[in-house]
Amino acid sequence: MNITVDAIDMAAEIIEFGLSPRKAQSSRRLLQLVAAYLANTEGTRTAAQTMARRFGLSITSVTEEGVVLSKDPEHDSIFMPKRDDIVKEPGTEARLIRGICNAAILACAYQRQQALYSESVQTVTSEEVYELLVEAAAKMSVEDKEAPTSMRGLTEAAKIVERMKADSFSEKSGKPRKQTLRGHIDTTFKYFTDHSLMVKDSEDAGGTYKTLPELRVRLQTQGAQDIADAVLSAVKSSSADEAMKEAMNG
Amino acid sequence: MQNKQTFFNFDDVSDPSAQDATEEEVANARDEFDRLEAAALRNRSQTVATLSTIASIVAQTATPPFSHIDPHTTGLRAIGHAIDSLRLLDIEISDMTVRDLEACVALDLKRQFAALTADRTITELPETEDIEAWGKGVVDKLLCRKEHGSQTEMMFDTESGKFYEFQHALLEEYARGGAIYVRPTAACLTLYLGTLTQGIGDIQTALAAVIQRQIARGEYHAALQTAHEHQRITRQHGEKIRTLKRRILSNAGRYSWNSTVLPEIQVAQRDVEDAISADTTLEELLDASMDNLPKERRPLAQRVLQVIKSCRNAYRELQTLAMELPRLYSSCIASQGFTSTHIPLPSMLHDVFTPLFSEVTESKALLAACDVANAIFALPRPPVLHDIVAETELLLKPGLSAETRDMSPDGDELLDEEDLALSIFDEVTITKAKNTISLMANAGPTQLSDIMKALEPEDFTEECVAAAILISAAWAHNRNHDGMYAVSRTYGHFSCKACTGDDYLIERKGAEDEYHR
Repeated sequence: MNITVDAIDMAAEIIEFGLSPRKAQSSRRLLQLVAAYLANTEGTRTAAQTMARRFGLSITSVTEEGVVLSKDPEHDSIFMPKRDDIVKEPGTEARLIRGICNAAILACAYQRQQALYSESVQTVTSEEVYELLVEAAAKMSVEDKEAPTSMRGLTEAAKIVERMKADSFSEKSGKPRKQTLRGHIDTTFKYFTDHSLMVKDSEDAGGTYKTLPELRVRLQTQGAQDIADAVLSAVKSSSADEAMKEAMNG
Repeated sequence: MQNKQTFFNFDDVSDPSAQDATEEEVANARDEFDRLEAAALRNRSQTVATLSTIASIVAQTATPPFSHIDPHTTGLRAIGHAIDSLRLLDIEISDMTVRDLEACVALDLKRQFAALTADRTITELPETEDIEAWGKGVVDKLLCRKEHGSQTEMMFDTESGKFYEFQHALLEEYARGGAIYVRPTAACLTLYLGTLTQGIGDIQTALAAVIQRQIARGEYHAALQTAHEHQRITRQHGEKIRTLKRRILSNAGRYSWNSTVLPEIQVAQRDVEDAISADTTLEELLDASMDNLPKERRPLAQRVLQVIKSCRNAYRELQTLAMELPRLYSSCIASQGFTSTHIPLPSMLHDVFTPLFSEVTESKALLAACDVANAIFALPRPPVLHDIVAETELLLKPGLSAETRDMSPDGDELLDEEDLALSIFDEVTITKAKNTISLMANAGPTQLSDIMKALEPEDFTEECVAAAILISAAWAHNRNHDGMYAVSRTYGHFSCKACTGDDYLIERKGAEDEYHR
C-alpha cells in the first residue's frame, strides 16, 4: 500500500487527539480524521496503527466522540503513567481505597448493566457513592452475627470503609478531609475529571458528575471485562485461602 | 424517479380486482390487517409510554403556588426549546446546556406566575430560587434522571405475545468536547411534531402540498407558518439519519445490513430525495410568483422562500450523509471487527462491586483486584516536561495587540487556548519592574532584596514577582539581565508579600561582557 505524507500527517494528528483530549479541538477536523481512519484513506489507519504500536500504544477507538488510546500489551510506552502517578499517596492502603472507590463509582454510574451499552450520559453523585459503600459495609456487619462489634469476619473492603466512614470536614473550606471516606471519593472523582473521563456538573449531593464518552469506551472495549476478571480471581483466591485456613484449623 | 410522489393523487385508492378475491386472499388480507393493527397498537403504546414523562410533571401534588401551573405546556415548551436549539444545517450539534434549558423553563414558569398573579389566583410571586428549583425538577424529569423515573418499561407486544424492553426518553444529554449538552431524542421529535403513524417523507410531501396551495391562494402568513413546521420536521429528519449514523458508528455489527441498515438507508435516501424535489418545486413556484406580487407582500414571500431554501440546503447535506452511510457501514464493519459489545459486558454492580466488597476476604487478592481497577484508568498522555524558567519567560512575554487581533477564521479551528493565555503581567507591570532594576543597578551594584524593599512599600507586589522572575531567569540562563546587568547568586534570601527566594547581586556591565561569560 502506498501511504502518502498526508495520511502520515493525519495519522499523527489522530494520535495527538488521543494523547491530548483536553486540547482545544475542532469537531469538524475530528470528523475528517474519523472518516479517513475508518475508510483507511491513503493508508491513514495503517499508518496510525503502526505509529501507535511503535509508541507502545494501541488505538482503541476513533469515532466522532474522540480518539481513545490504550497501552499496547506487548510493548512498554513512554506515554503511560507509572503506578505512583495514578495513586499519588504512598502505601498499599491508598491503592486499596482507590480501587474500592473506583468500583463504587462505576457501580453507581452504570447501575443497570444495559447502561454500559448505551451512549447516554450517566450521572453519579458523591453522596450516592458514599451511601453505597457505607450501606454495603453495614450489611456485612449485620450479616456477621458472630462478631457484631469487632470487625472480625468483615471483608477487607468493609473494614476499610468502617474505619474511614466517619465524617470530618475542613473548617476553612467545608470540604471533606482527605483522609476520610468522602475525601477519598472526592479524590477519585477528581482523577476522573482531570483525565477527561467525567465532568463535574454541580456541587449538589456532595458533587454531581457526568460520564464522558472516553470512560464508556474504555469500559466497553476491555476495561469492564478486565476488572470483572480480576475481581473473580480475587474471590477465588479468597475462597481457596479460607478453605486452607479451615483445613489447618480443623 | 419512480418514487416521486405527486401531491394529490388518489387514483390508486380503489382496486376492482379486490372484489374477486379468494378466501385465502381474504385471510391473508385479514392477517395483514391484524399485523398492521398490532403494529399501530405497539406504536401507540410506545407513544403513551414516552409521553408519560410529561404526565409525570404533576403540578397538582405540588404545594401552592406551584400546584397552579400548567405542567403539560411547561413540559412541551421545554422540549420545544431543546428542539429549536438543534442547528438546521449542522445536524450533529445542539448548543443548549442543561443549565440553559433550566433557565428557559424558569423563564416560562415566571410567565405563568405573572399570569396567575394578574388574575389574582395567587397573591404574590414565588421566590426566584424556588422557581428555578422547580424548573430544574422539570428538566430532570424530561431527562429521566435516575431519581425521576425510569427510561425503561416492560411492554407487551400483541403480535408476538411477548414482553419486550422499551427504552424511552424525551431529552438526552450528550458530551461534546468535555461539556454536556442536551438534545431531543428522535422519539421526542416524532411525538412533538405529531407524526405518529406517517413517515417523515410523507409528512414533508404533504406539508409541501399545503404550502403550495397556500402560496397559490396568496395566504403567505399561513404559508410561513407551514414552512416553519416544515423546517422543524427537517430537523427531525436530520435527527433520524444522525441516529442511524451513530448506531453504525457505535457498533455496526449489531445491526443486520439486510433487515435493518439497508431498509433504513433506502427510506432515508428516498425521503430526502422527495423532500428536495418538493422544496425545489416550491422555490420555483415562489420565484415565479414573486414578480407578480404586490410590493407589500413581497417581504413575507421572501421569508417563506428563505425558510424553504434553508430546508433544501439542509436536505442537500442530509442527502450527502445518507449517500455515505453504506460506505460508512462497510468501513465500520471492517474496522470494528468483533468488538466487545458482542460479548455480554459484566455488570459493574453485580459482577464487580458486590463481589469485590463482600466476597474478597484476603488482602493480597483485594489489592490485586484494586490495582487492575486502578490501572484501567491509566491513560496514555504526553510526558510532562516542565521547564519552569522557559514557562515563566513565556508568561512574561506581554501579548502584543497585533497578535490578539489576528483571529482569522481559518486559524480558529486549531487554535490552542493555552496559546492565548500567555500574559500574566501587563506591559506596564513589566516595564515598572525593569525600570526599577535598571535605576537601582545603574546607581551601583544592588541586590534583588533591595529592589523588593523599594517596590514593596508602594504596594507594587506584582512588580516584585516580575522582578524576581526576570532576575532568576537571567541567572538560570547564565546571561545578563536586559543585556547589561550581570546577575550572581549571593546565597542570601529575599522575601516580599507574594514570594520568597534566593537573593542575587545585580551589577551593571558592558553589553560586550555578555560574550565573555
